Amino acid sequence: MARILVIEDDPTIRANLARVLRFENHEVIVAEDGHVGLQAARTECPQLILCDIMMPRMDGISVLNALRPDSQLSVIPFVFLTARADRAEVEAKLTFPADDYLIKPFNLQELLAVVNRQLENQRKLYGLSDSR
Amino acid sequence: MPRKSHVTDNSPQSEEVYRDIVDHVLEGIIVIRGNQVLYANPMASEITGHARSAIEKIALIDLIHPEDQGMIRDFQQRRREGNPIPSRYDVRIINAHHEMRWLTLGQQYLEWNGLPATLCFFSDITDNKRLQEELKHSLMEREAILQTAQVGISLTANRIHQWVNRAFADMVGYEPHELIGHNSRRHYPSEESWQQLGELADEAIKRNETFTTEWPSIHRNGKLSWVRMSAARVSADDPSKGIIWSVLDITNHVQAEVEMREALAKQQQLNQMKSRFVSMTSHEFRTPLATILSSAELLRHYRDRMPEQEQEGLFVSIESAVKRMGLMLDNIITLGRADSDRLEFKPTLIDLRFFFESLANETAAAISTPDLLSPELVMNLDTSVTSAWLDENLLRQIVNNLLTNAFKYSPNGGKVRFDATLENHVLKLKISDQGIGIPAEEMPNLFESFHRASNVGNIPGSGLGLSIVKKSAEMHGGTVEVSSQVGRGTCFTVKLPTRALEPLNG
Repeated sequence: MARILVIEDDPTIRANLARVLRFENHEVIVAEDGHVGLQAARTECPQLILCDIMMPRMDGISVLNALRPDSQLSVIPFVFLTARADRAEVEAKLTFPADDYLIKPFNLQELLAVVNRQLENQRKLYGLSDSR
Repeated sequence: MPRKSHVTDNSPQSEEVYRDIVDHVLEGIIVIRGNQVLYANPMASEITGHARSAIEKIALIDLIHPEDQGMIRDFQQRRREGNPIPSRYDVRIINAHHEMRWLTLGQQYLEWNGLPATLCFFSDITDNKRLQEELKHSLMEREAILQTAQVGISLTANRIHQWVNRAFADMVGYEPHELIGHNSRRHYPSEESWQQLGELADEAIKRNETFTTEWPSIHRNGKLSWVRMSAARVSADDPSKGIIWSVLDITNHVQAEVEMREALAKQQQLNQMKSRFVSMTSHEFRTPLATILSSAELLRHYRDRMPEQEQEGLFVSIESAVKRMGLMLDNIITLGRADSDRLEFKPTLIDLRFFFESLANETAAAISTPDLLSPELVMNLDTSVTSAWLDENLLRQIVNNLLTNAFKYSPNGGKVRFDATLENHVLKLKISDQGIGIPAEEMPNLFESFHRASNVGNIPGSGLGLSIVKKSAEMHGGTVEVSSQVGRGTCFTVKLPTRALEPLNG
């Protein structure tokens, strides 16, 4: 079980993601735009962040660019949820790479595979226990 | 006659002077009587190639070229009959080396040893004749070349045509004689154009360079064409010899170039549109697809752990996502039809007040999200707005898209105003907002499909709305106007002519 932050402006997709992750026994924090998401990343100590790219007020690229320079927050695995197929264009705007991408529409299997792999890597790297 | 009096002067001193002159003069001189040569000076001997002693034994007619013997015999005949003969003429002889020589010859009558005789003086003009012939030939050749050339050629001095060829005359629609002696102003589109070209050409020509340019030219019939012309001095060191111009009609080339550029621009535009379509569809279709897929999977895998109401909500979200995609497809199809002129226009009598009120409220409700500042809708339907014959579907597209945009692009709220009037069979709709506005540089592409302004940020959209608004207005024979200021707001004005013939009972 992990603490996961979902930053997504589309209310249905946000709610569905939260449902799935909760059914899979994770603790989920949701944010409806980049601005709120960045605040939550700072205060809620998530172990994984799933973040949409195109959002009002503050987009996903700005969120990641704001998180990476912070030594505490930069270790949190960061996965982009994107409707865009042009990944190269997104990467060009990033100062630091994201840990992974999920291209919409993604299915349950893909989502859980990415989530589990990122959490697993995190455990191996920092030896954090499941029950942190 | 002074010559005669000199010849007959027989004083010894004048005799000596006379002989000196005759011996050293550069003309050949002979004295003849009938066919008999009585005297020949040294130069006559040199020209004919016969020694002076031999010349006197030769019959005159034998010296003459066979082709000219007839002419000489004729002269002799006329002379005998007392008729006048030319005092100066050209004649060919055969010299002692059997070569033909041209002589120019003058004659004078005199008394020689008490009997009448003829004094002939002549010079050899063979070389001149040959040069003359060659010149004539080369001039004819040049004339033929210039006249048959496809390029227009003109010789000017002080911008006045001295000579033009046929191609030049044809190019400007005049006869050569109508141009020669006149200045070239007539076949330039304007006085300024003529002056300007003159100055440009002068500059280059003064430096002794060939001037080349592409310039408009006007035909006598008023038709404008483009020509490529070159000008240079005829003689490099003598400007007074005039300027030679060669002119080539390149209207077709210019036209072809313009068409090619237009085709290329159109192609590039299409390519841009294609790439905009790809990125738009990518985003706008993937989002509802993500909703559908995640909702369906939740229902499949976790249905047992969800209350009935939550399951119901997932079905609803699947349905609305499908609707959203369906609408987008409709828009794309509408545009596709409009582009291929297959858009239907079926006017029906519409109750405009009811139509606008319900549509505006529907749109405002659909667009409003609780977590964003929603603008306030202010509707003002003039009393003139009653009912009119319009295509309901197209009118819906216009109002729906413009209102949706007004709301969507007003993230900080403000007012969305919807004003309508119906006067002189024109329905005027004005939809204005206090939103983000449209940058001036986006205006030219505003109504293009899949084009979105640079300042839309993360506000979702397909870039199809305004394109559809424009097509729908055009189907009515109407217009769409826009004015906007970034950060202040945007105002769209749509004018739709309504059908003039209204049914009797409304």
